Amino acid sequence: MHFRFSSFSDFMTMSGHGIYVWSAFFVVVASIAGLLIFSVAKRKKIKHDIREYYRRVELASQNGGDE
Amino acid sequence: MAWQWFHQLGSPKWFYDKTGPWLPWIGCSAILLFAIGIVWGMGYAPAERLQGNSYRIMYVHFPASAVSLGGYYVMAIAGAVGLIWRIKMGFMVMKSAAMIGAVMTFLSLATGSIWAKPTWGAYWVWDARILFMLILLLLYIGIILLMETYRNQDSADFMVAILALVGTVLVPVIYKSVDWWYSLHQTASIKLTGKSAIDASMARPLIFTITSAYVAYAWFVIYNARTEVLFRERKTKWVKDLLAKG
Repeated sequence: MHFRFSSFSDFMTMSGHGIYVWSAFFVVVASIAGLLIFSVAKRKKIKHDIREYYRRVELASQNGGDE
Repeated sequence: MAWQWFHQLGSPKWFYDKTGPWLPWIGCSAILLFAIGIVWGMGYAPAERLQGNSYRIMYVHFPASAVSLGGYYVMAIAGAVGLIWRIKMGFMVMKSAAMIGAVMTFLSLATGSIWAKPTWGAYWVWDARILFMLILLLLYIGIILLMETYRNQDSADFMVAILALVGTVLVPVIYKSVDWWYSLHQTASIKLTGKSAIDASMARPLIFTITSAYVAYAWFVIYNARTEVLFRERKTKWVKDLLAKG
């Protein structure tokens, strides 16, 4: 097993196919990274919303209302 | 008890507590497996005789395609578990599986389209398998949208699980489409039984990227299911205590 390309630029261009190969790679990495950011942001938002909800319930019970 | 784990896993609190420590390990192994498979596949696997280097797109195309189909079953089975045993955790897993499943299906189509240009001469061709994959993507999107449509959680869970189960007919059709219709797609290169049509020097790195895709899939399903647990269990004491801690 050996490295199949003579140089780094050869590895990038892949005799004309590099643009396809690396753009496919980039689309995958970018999409998964995007979903990761989305998932983490969603977790944060849900936690924030639930804490808001607790505060509202607590306020309502302090004011004598039953939410 | 043989079935104890099944009922424990059905408890949202147990699921939340148990899977939390797994996530860093699952995430790190997904990245490591992907890095090994990609470096090996992109740099060290030999060029293909007819396609040259463009075939290296396979190392991302195949894993995305495999997970989009395999992951569909995970989603549908999770929905069935929710319906049959009335285990709410099943619906939560179903919901989180829909998101990553849709992304993987999109990636299968996108990378396939990029691969098609140098190989078939066009970004899009009307091929049976591609058409059914597009329908699968629409089905995933439909499922995600349907979940948001209902105000009532139980109705949403029920309808989405039914839709997901009905949609399972699509998966074997996509899998067998290259045999049933004349297609630009090649027939299966990797066979579980018998000799594969792909050389081991090319197949080995592929095994790494496919495994990494399944592991990453598991990470996203668990991570987003845990978010869903927090939301749905917000009225319980344990979630209240958990969020009070910070």
